[in-house]
Amino acid sequence: MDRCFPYLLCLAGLLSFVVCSEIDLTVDIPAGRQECFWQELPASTTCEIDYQVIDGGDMDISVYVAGPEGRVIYMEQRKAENVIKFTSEGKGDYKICFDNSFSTFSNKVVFFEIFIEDGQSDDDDDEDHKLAMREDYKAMESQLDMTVEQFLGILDRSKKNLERSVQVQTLIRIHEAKDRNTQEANFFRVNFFSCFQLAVMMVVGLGQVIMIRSLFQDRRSVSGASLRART
Amino acid sequence: MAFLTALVTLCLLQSSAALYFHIGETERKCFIEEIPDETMVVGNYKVQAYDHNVKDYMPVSRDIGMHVDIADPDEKTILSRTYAAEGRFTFTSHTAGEHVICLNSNSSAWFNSGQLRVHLDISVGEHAVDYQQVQAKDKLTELQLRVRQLLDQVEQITKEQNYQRYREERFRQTSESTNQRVLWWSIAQTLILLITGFWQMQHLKSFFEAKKLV
Repeated sequence: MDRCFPYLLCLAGLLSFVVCSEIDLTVDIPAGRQECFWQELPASTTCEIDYQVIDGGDMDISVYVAGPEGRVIYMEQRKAENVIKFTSEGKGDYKICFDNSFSTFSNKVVFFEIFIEDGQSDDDDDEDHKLAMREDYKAMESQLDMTVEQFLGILDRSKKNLERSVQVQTLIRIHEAKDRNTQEANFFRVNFFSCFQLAVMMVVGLGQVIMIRSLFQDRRSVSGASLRART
Repeated sequence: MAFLTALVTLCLLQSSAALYFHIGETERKCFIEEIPDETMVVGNYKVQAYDHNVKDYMPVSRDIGMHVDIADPDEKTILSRTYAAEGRFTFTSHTAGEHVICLNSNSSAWFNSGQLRVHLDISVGEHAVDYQQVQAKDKLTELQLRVRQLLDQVEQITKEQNYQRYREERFRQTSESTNQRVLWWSIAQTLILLITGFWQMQHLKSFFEAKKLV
């Protein structure tokens, strides 16, 4: 898990430059069932899905991604966390399914994020250029001590960096949630099994004494010597 | 001018590409959102039902609405309302933690007669703010709007960081408590084992002495 974390951080950072569309959800998947989500993708678009199991049982889940015709693009069995990257061929509704049918008792809480790469960065530059040409903004340049385009560039870079911070924060939050759930399960298990073990120990101790007493009490007619010889 | 405003605000807003999923008429689906306090959450949804004539999902013709239940981290219900087939729900968190948003259709069917398609989009914090409205209300220029958006983003990041600190403290408390308990339970178990062994030997010794076997 710790090995994956820096990789996920880097990926989040890289993706923040082009991404303009991001969806994230945390779902609870009951035992023995599967939950599917559909997302419409345009043709030839890079899409990235990262998911993590944050609570439940062995903390793993099976996943498969299918295209609009139902053809399975990607499949993975019982993993705790993963990053799926694929390029959509045709326009349509792509399906991602989380399968918990291998589990009989435990429901899983899964966090997943879908990043869809948009080609919007070029439009931003055109807009900035249009804004910079405005007369009232040009008048501000003496106050700003730089051109309007530079100022807009600074604003854009700040926005992108802040978006990257938000993505990193989301990842940290999810890891922390997973660790916290593991720790709370740990706490419960330590208490429960220690109590249980103590109870079993006392019952067994008492049981042993009662058994031995009952062995000797039944044979009142047998003399002590023959008992000693047998035991 | 208006066109430029629209262009700018369109790019400022995160394009809300909504996900959809299928839900049975009597089924209930829940989503968990872990958010800091005083954060606004906006959910937009749209319900479609399967039409056998057209063999596709069409907007609902019958009176189907969505019942939305939102519970706060203390499992107290903060919102429980039925909305129309297409709508939006909003709430602001007052406690930091895991909020659970549950959706179920208010169909009166006793069994699952069909699947409904629900398009859902949940926006948290500064993604939930409608900047077109903010610009109209406060009469901001494009530059001012962009700076305002940056300020909102920074504020959200700060709130999330504070919440993270609180969560880490709680996690540390649980860890330390478990650590202590492992030690105390082990000591208690060893003591009880010794006492039980001692008691067993004493009891059996006095029992055998009474029976004149020893």
